[in-house]
Amino acid sequence: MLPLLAIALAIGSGARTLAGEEEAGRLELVLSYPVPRRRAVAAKAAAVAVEVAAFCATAYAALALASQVFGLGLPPGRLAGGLLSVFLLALLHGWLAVGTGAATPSRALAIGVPAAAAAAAYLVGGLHGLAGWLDPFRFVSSFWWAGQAPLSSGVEYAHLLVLVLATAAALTAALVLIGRRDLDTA
Amino acid sequence: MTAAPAIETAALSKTYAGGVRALADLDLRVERGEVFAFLGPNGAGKSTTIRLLLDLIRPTAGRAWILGYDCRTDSVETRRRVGYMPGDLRLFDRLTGREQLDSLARLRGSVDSAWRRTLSERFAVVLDRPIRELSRGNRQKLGIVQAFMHRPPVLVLDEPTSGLDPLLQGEFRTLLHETVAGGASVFLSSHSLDEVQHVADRVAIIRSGRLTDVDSVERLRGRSLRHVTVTFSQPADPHAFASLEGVRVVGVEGVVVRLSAPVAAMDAVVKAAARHRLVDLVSAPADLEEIFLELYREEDDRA
Repeated sequence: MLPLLAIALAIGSGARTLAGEEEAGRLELVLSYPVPRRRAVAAKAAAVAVEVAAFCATAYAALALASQVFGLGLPPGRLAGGLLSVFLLALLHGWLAVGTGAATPSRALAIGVPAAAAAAAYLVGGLHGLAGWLDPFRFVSSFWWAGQAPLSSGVEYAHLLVLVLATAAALTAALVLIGRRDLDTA
Repeated sequence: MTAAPAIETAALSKTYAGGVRALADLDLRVERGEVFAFLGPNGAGKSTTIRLLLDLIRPTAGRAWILGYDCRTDSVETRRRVGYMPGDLRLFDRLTGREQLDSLARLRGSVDSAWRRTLSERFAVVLDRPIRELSRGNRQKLGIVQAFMHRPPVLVLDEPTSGLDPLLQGEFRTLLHETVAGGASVFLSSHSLDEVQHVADRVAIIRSGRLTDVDSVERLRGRSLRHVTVTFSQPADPHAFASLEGVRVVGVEGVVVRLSAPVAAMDAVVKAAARHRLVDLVSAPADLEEIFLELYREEDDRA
């Protein structure tokens, strides 16, 4: 549940900050200032990261408190690892939203593309053990790399590195794509 | 770079995806210290040109420079030197005017804050209410302040006075005069000659993505049309005028014949009129709006 909430927040933020601003016509004035497009997109990506990090920090505090109060006995290290995987999962999709917004001015697409990617990854990650033919595809599922049950069984930090790389790739794509097109000024 | 003109374009062209040809082979040169008006009906390619200058969209062909900097490869340098007022100004509705200007000033880096205050006072800008509560005219005033607040050497203004009341339009003209007196250049787009004829040094006319004419406002007037009203002592045949080059018979009411005639045809008009007994002959200059229309008519005739 927590990863899905975090992803929804990240996609909303990523789509609003770039594609949404362009659709609203406000990006035109900002980009008429002496700001390189890449820097503007990098600043927006950073804002998404801050928002997701704040969400995860709040969730960490709430879960740590709940663990104390209800005696769940969650080791702080495992909780932190679990939330790090949630953070990376959400950031990946938030930056995919920024990247989609960098490629096209549509806010609907900037929500739809990462949401579809998340839904597919979620299904593959959850079903690959049940449906044998899906098994080879688990490697394209961000949820699989994030770990199936990080709070009970911990996270594989080597697997999280894959999420880090995918997230970096999404940001790189955003920075490249924004430089290549006409701003939508309709 | 000191010799470079304020704005220069060479064969600048833009065809949008889908094949819409918005601008074709535009060659322009805006000198330093002049107000250059860029005139044409809506959809003629004015905003396309401006967006190419600011690197918001990319040309299909051709190049453009501002103060010698390439608008494509040195766009941060060009935008540093430009104050831009979009034709369709969109601001952050949640912010107050002051917050919006603060945010833009930070983006700009260096802003003359005393000058910004002066501008806000001169245009009676509403600073302390959220922008969503402001009228179109009040938003437009924020647009003026943000375009001028860093004292840019080049101003690119897309229909800047739409929505301003007449008093502030006068103040805006004063501001333009001061700006060019200080050595800056202004590129001013408009669909109305009336709006620019008191401020512009030269006028370019664009239509369907093509430059049709560049001339000084004075010469445009000089080349201009005359409204000629001839009153004869008895009803006369207007066909004698209609056959003259460039002359149109606008109306005939009894003994009165109304013509529109280019200055070049005045001699022929007077000689044709003089064949009959005259009571009166009045010649008055047409205003620029009509000249504008006449230029378009010539274009159509040639096409």
